[in-house]
Amino acid sequence: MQDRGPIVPRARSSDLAFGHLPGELLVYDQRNHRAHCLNDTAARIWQHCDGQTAIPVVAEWLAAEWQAPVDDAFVWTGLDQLARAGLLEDTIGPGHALPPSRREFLRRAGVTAAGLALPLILTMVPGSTALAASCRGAGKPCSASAQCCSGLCSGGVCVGGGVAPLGGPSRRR
Amino acid sequence: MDILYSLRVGVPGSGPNGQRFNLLEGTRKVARATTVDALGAVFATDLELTMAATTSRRLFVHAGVVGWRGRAIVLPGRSFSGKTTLVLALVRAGARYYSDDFALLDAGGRVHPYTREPSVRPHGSDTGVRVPLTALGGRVGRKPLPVGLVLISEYQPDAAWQPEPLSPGAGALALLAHTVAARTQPAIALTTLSAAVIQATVLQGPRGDAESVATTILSHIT
Repeated sequence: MQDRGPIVPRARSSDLAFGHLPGELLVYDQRNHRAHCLNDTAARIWQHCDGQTAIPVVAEWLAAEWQAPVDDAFVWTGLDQLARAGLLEDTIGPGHALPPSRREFLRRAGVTAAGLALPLILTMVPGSTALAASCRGAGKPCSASAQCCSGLCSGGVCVGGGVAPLGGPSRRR
Repeated sequence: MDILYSLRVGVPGSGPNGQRFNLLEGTRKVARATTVDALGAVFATDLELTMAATTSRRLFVHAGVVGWRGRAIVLPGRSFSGKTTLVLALVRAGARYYSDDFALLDAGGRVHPYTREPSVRPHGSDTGVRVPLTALGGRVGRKPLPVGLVLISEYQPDAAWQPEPLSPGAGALALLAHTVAARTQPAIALTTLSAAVIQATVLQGPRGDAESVATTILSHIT
């Protein structure tokens, strides 16, 4: 298979409106009239998607900013949610599957490193007053691991600790 | 002139079912009726929504609002969600009435009074009856207030009051869902709502009888 080089995600920049809160970023997508609330982690990952920087380098930048170990898998978790929310250009399609090694790492690591909140995106769907989270927290029902913030669905329930609560701000210890 | 409403009157007997009085906004047909009076309420509502969707000076959010201890309690919700019932219960518990229909936000996120008479639907009726403000005992707000609490709640019979806290961002999204100008002015909406929720508590959960939870709701603002 031909090597197409590293993936360099690019954040969308057009047809978007913003609102800023401490630790949260509000984004209104004028293409589909959906609104999103990104926690600090998701917002930082998104802001580093400049279309030129490979994922390992993004992880290094974030590790330096947060003074905490951040690996590719953590960044991939955010990118997957950003893609599902339609906030990336077509560098990564929605539902892009994590490589098995990274999924395994998430399962072993139990989700977060050094107390970092997982990237979390709440989405308001047009015509609905219900907020939908990009992933499900610990204890929530699931049918596939990709649905869980932890990356692990076991026995029909999302498992894993250190998950940011639904709608809650991200926190660093 | 930005908006022009017109009343077109047909000759007696004209129009479907004798509805010869036609209300138009520009070329848009708003409503028709057999009498002018019947168009009055429709005109008021349509004008209200048109203003809400087009003005940039204030952000209109479908919500009940009361004032308590210098802060606004904002109750976003669609029609039939129990906003008015809860607003009136909070007023009877000591809060000041600001609105049962729209939260009027300025660019700084403060809520201004929109003191139209609250509309109460008699049990089993879809039509509201306006309650005079004087019936509220004079507890009507006059000053703009910062938002202290955003309560996302709908009436459910026998529901236990156990709301969950949400982040300010989640609160802003919930308000955006009820913002009239969300699609037409999203940038203004997000900026205004961000200013509104930045220091607010946001709670979400069903509620039972309004009278039984009113005092507890007010206790969230100290």
